[in-house]
This record gives sequence, C-alpha cells and structure tokens, in this order.
Amino acid sequence: MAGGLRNLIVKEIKELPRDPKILLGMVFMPLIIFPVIGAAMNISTTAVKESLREVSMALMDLDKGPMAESLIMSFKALNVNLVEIEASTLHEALERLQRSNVTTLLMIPLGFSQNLTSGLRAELAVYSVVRSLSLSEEVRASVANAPISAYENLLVHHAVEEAWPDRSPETVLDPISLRSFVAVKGRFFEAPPEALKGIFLSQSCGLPMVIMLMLISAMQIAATSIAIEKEEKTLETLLTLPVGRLSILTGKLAGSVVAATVGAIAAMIGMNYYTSSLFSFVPAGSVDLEALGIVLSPTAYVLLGVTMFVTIVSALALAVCVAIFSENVRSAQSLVSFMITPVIIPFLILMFADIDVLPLAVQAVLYVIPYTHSIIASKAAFLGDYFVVLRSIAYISLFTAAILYATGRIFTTEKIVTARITFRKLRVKK
Amino acid sequence: MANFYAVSRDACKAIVAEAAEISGLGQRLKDKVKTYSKGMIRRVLLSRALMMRPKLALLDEPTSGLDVVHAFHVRRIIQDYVKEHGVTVLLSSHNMFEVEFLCNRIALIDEGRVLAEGTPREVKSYYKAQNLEEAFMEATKLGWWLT
Repeated sequence: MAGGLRNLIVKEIKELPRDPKILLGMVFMPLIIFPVIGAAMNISTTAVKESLREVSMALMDLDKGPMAESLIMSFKALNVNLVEIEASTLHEALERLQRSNVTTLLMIPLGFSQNLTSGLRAELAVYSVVRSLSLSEEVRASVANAPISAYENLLVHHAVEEAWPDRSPETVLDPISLRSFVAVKGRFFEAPPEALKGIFLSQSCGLPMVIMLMLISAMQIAATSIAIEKEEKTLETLLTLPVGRLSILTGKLAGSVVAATVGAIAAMIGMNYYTSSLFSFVPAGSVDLEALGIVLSPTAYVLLGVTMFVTIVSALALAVCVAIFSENVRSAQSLVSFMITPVIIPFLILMFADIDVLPLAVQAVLYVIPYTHSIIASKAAFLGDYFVVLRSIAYISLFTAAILYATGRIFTTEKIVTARITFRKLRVKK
Repeated sequence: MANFYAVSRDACKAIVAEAAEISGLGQRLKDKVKTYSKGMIRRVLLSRALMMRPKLALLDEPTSGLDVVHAFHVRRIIQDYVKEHGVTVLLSSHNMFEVEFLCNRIALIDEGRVLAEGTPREVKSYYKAQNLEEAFMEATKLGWWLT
C-alpha cells in the first residue's frame, strides 16, 4: 500500500509541470511579475532621486544685500544650483521661467537684507511651474523649502544666541525633551511607538499575504487535478488501481502541497525583490528588532511552519471536496472561486485591524473561518504568544479533520464518479 | 501504471514491454500522446488494461468511433490476448457483428434488462435469426413497425 501511495504521489508531482497553467501561473509569474513591478517602481524612484541630485533653480535677486548672499550660500550648501535669471521685471522673469526647463524661481525682493537686519519680517517668493502630475515634479517644486527652512533656523539660532548669550538655543527653542518607551513582551524599550507600528504592520502583513497567495493557488491546483481526472475519464482508471481510495486522495493532496510550496517559494522570492525594490529609498529604521525580541524564535518558526502546513492541508481538502462535485475543469474553478472568499476576507480585515476591536458579530463570523486563525497565529508568533498559535493550530486541525473525513467518505463511495453540481439546472428555460 | 502492479523493477519493465507489444505502435510510442489519433489512443488504453494480465478485463465499447484499420487491430488484440493468456474479457458493444466475431457467450440487454443469454449460436437459433443483429431486433421487438 505504501508503494502504491508513493507511486501516486510521484504521478501527481510528475503531472504538475505538464500543466502549463501551474508552471506559468504559479512559478514563473510570481518570479517574473513581482520583480518586474518592483524594478519598474525602483527605476522611477531612482530616476526621481537622480533628478534631485543636481537640482537647478532660477534666481532673481533684487536685494543683492548681505543676507541675500548668505541665503544663496545655504542653497549651495544643500546642492541646489541657483542660476541668476536675466530679467528686468518679475513678469519677464516668470515668462522666461515657463519657457526654460527649470521648474522653480526664487525671488529675493528689494529690502530683504534690510528688513532682516532691522528686526522686521522679510519676504521671499518662490514660483513653481507644474508641468506634470508626477512625484518627481512635486518634489522638484518643493525643493526650495529645505534650504529656506535651514536658513530660517540659522537666523533663529543667531537671534536666540544674541538675546540669551548664556543659554543654549535648544533650551529656548525646544525646552522639553521627549523620550518614548514601548513595552514589547513585557520589557520596555526606548523607541517611538509609530516606528514600531510600521514594523508590526510589515511583519504581520508579509506572512499572511504569502499564506493567502499560497492558499488560493493550492486550492485551484487541487481542484483542477481532480477535475482533469473527471473530465478526461481517468478517474475511473485510477479507481481500478490496487490502492485504497484514501491513498488516491492523499496523493492528490500531496501533489498540491508540493506545487503550493514551490509556488509559495517563488512568490516569496518575487515579493522579497518587489518589497526591497519598493522600499529601497526608505532609510533603514533605527529600531533594532532583535533587541526588541520581535524576531521569530526557533519554537515560533516551527509553530508557524505547522500552522502553514495545517492551513494548506485544510484548504486543499476543502478544494478537493468541492471539486468532486464538478463536471469539468471550468466548473471546478468556478466552484473553488467561491471558496476563495473566506480566505481573502479575514486577510483584508485583519490586515488593518486586530480582531478584538471588531464588532462581536464580525468577530464570531471571523473566528468560524479557519483562515482567520492562520493570520492570528502568524501575528502571535512574532510576539511569542505561543498559546494563541497552538489554539489556532488546534482549531485549523479540527476543521481539517472534519473536511478530510467528509472528503474521505465521498471518496470511498461511488459518488466520486457520479456526483455533479450543474449550473444548467439553475438556468431559466425560455 | 506498471509500478502499481509490479513487485520488482524487472517485473515493471517486463509489463511495460508487454504493453508496448500489445499496442503495436512501434516507434510512435516515443511520441507525445496528444499527437496520437483516436485509434492509437484506444490501442494504448487497451494495452494498459491488458498488460498486467488481469483475470477479468472489462472493455466498454472498445472499437466505437474507430476507423476500419484501428477497429480491426483492436479486435485482433483482444482475440489474441484471450487465446494466449487465458484472460476473460467482459465486453459491451452496440456492434452485433463484433460481438458475434469476438464473444463465446453473450447477453442481449435492453434498458437494463437481460433479454437473452447464451452462446451466439444458441441465441441466434432461439430467435431463428441469421445473425445477432436480427436476434436483437427480434428480442427487443424494436423493429415491429417495419414488418
């Protein structure tokens, strides 16, 4: 019997690459599509960064005073190249700006230096031409803000130093120093709460997303593999083999698990490249995850692995159970598409909210869906809450056992050959 | 498929070799099945069923939809195999001439009911028919309006 099961698993695995849908859709697509999207985003963000490396601004200096000169120096210090525009009036300068490829004009009006030195408010004007609605254009248009605010800071510091020569300017400008502490796993760490929120979001969304992707593809593979056997009438041949019917079911599930694992690895590689490309311009956070203990311990890894395994098996069993009632591949796929809804809904809801904050009725519905527990478990694993993970594993396992029992029962009867759900009966006859 | 029945690697190879011989497809066996004609696929399926020398083989309309050449080959495979290996074949067919040609014992079935049973000669003589087709028409009375 064991040899028969091995042969069936080998048969299922051999059949996987023969189906171009599986090979293309599950392996090559994630490997190609995600990196391509990531690369495209990377190209555009790199282009924005490159375009900002040497930014030029037009300058119309009507003041020519010492303060205007020091302002221009602060622009140069921040790598902003100021090109003096030759125009007699502002109107003329703006017309020339619109014709040129420069986006921004800094106008220093007459009396700028005098106002600042005599303790009055001075005025500056920045004119920006928006030529397109892109991120780079927006960044270019606001390029004057940083040097101006740096210069303003400098002026304020000078003023404070003059007024209170015996005090540090920081004690006047920022008299309260705030230190934030966050408790993680019962220990307090110095970190801003918003920084941790971002980390939690990325850690808790990544794995559920992979689980969701894997479940959807695994369910389709399992259902398709049963439907193909029914469509091509090879199921009857399989049933004549000297192996138990539950071995046939196990073979189907094992084949789908292999395909799902390969697909998940491909998706993870693709997604990893995608996210690393996407967030390559975001500076690395100052929060040390390892010090905070928000990394997976070996126990958590094992438990997460078990969670993913039981989740996949339950989804596969459900897909196979549904596919038994299909007529052909198309009807199997439409039946499975209904089953995908309970996979997506918990993911979408729990991506943004914890289950505890949801209304009681929604919580009850979500708790019934086994895939909710997969997401809860993956979040809990990061926080080392092993009881929640084990509880989730237990629930998913119970659900899986029930589905496997039902599927096994159908598999051991003649319903496996005769059961059909046809949509034709539902059509209204004209 | 042979792996499910073979007890050793050599036995598996022997079963596959036998299947290749039964099919009579020669070098075309190396080609992909999707390039096969309907008749060639039927020969492969038949050889798959017979290769492990079953005590009883159930063949459901083995020649339906085949051209003369392939139908001839399939019938010859069944006939030779039964003679050589003592395999019993339970065959269903709408082709009464094929039934008469291949079978030792027959049963005429109409709408799930067995109308007559015996050797082809016994059934023909019972209905005083020239061939099994006439015997079937007589047994079922399906052609009464023609007389």
